[in-house]
Amino acid sequence: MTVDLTAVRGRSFRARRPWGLWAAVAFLAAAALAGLCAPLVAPQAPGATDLMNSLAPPGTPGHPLGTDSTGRDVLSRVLYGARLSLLAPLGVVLLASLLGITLGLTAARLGGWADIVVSRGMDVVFAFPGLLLAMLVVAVFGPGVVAPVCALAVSYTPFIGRLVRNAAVQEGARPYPEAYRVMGFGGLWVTVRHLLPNIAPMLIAQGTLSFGYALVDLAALSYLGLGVRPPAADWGSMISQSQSAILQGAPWGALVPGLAVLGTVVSLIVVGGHIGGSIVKKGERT
Amino acid sequence: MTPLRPAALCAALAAALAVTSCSGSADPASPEAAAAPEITTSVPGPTSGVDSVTWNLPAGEPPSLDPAMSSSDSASTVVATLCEGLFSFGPDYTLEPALATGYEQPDPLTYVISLREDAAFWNGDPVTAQDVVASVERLLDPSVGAAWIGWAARLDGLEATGDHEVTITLTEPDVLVANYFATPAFNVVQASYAEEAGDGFGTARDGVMCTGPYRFESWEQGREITVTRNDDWWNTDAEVRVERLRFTFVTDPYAQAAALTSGDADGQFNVPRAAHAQLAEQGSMLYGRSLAPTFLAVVDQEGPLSDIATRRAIQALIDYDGIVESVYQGAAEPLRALVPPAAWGYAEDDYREAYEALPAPAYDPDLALGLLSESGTAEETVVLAYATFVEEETRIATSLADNAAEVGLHIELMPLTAEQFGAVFSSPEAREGVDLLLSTGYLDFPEPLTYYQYFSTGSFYNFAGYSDEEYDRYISTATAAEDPAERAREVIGAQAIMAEDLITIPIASQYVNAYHDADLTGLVPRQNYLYTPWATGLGGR
Repeated sequence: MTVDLTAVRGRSFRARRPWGLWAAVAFLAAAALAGLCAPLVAPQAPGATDLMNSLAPPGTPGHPLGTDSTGRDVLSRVLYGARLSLLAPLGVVLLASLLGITLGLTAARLGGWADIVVSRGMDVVFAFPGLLLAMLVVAVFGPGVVAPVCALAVSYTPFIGRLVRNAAVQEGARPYPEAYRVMGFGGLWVTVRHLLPNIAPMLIAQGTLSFGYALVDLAALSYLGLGVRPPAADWGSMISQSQSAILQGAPWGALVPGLAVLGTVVSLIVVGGHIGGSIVKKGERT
Repeated sequence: MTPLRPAALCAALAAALAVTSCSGSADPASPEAAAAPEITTSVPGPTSGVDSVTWNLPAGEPPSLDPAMSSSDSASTVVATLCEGLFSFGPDYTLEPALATGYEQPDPLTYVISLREDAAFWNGDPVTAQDVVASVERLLDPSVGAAWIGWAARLDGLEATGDHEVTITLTEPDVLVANYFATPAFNVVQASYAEEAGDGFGTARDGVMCTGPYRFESWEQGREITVTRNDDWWNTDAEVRVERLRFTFVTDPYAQAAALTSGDADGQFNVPRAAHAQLAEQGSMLYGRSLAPTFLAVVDQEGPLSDIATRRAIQALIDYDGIVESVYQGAAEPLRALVPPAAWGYAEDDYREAYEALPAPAYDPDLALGLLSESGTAEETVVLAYATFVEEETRIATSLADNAAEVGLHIELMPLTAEQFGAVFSSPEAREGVDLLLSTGYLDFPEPLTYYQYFSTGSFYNFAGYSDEEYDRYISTATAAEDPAERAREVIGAQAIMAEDLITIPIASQYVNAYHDADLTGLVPRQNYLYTPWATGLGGR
């Protein structure tokens, strides 16, 4: 007797994955909406302190998720914190993509010495830990959002640059770019009009994963006091500021933003994995 | 970036959250639930000896054990068990004989100090007058870089006038000088040993050579310093019960709490506040009134704080009740003046009367709003610098900035790392752009003049360049006033001007605290643990 295991696996795969994917997309959408609509839905101002009401537990009237050690409403700070916590990694990914695409395409199109110089340069940056680079930049320019975002963008550039360079070289070896050139189209037109769209899904997959990493790195910087300046709310600094309350049996100030980071990063991994999987399947089909 | 490892990342994040959610079983320490801690004024004496006590230094490993460099909490805590001055502070800060038996003052400019004849260094060599002179002169040598040089501003001469006699002469009367005889400024080290060790003196390699109740045994860098009981200590009246003290350097508050609860450390001063309730249940969490004010110091009086109305508004925006009850969990008292009541030291009735005549500290946003409407600088941004490594001060600064925002005053927070905060006190460049500095200091002994003199014209710590002729006159007269009542009168005059001009804005005085496990006893926490052999009272219950 033989059993069609492929069919079983296929059904199981199709039956489970969409739920996880949709849950991840829903979580990300909710996080983005929370940031966008924070002024409308947050019960308190994010910086409103009340020392006499510090470490109020979740469920306290007016503070559904409790208060932190300065009496600030945890829910409101998590909602407002979504803005910086999501925008800053987005800035990292966009800036790194801009740099990576430019460098990758330049290396692929020019080839020769330009390719060697750009590729080795990216290797050097690749070898330097991004978080350490960001800490050095913060030490020079001071804490804030801009300096760490720029530093992390530089350190994330090689991941995208290498991907673009390799994909562009691969695409360049296929017949269509040469055919366009024979037809009289310029190299830049071919690159922008055809080559980039062909590698776009791969870039989106990498960008999604980089977003998750950047979020964790930026949260770590904020946790170390090197990120956003107080009293601005972001998830990393919220975890940092609430850690001592854990000793007092009041973990919610750190737990809630921690769950937000966890949920966002896991969702991004799921979505990024799905996009990556689709690319692989598409490649297998073609 | 390493290849994507979602499972590992998720596991790490989840584990972190699990730790977050599972730790701490105590009820949340809400201000309403927290009872004000009791001040410890006496404890049962020890009844048994203890082989070894592990005492943690929460500020970390000291850079040196040289008394000249013992201006940090960590160094002072260890050096106080090793080295002695000419006198020691008693429980009420009166001078008690140590390496000196007493002093005479034939005139206001001269101190003739009689030295103990039976005192010896750990190696058995007797303490000589030359050792005393050399030790004090060594501290005054600018190349040594000692912090303890302020007392010598009026020093004229220092010499050995006998085998066991030292004479100090001043250019002008200075009533503060005698207090310094009990501080590290007069700690005695063996001159020949210090000279031979050179730069190695006080380091892990060479240690120190002093006379105190404990002798330096070893220093394993990054790990621990061990001192052992000096059985030849001159003070035979004191029964030193603990044979060996191991000092560890755990700085992380969570690791400190874990070490203290697990018994890896037997005790420490300055226990992380979040762990007080938990530790109080398993050992002795002790509190004592301190000589430490937490206050706002005006750093730039030309900018947004040039208008006195803005400074008064900021004072009215301090949530004193919240700070005392929530931030300090009741282990503090709000301040009306810079110098806390515990530091009056003499003429207490006079000080109290003047103190109570000052406005009671109260959070009053309406008053602040009114003051800001009169201020010409209310629209300007006030930059408030504070130390991020002191969690209590982070909370105070955050609360103040929010209270100010509610009445339309913009206070920009400038969090500083330990290095940046230290630089503020030594470098004008580091103070650039700072209007207001939140800090906690402490008086070395209960003499209000020591703090108020810092704000006279030209003083090193007068960062704002504050200058008031009347204030300077009060300080100058007080410095020469031998009679305590007369001195108090002058200091109170300066205090009133300070309260009026608000070049410093007092907030609260937090209690000194210490913890030791249930098997130990004999420690009454006082500010003077930094300069007295605090461990000699410790022993088994």
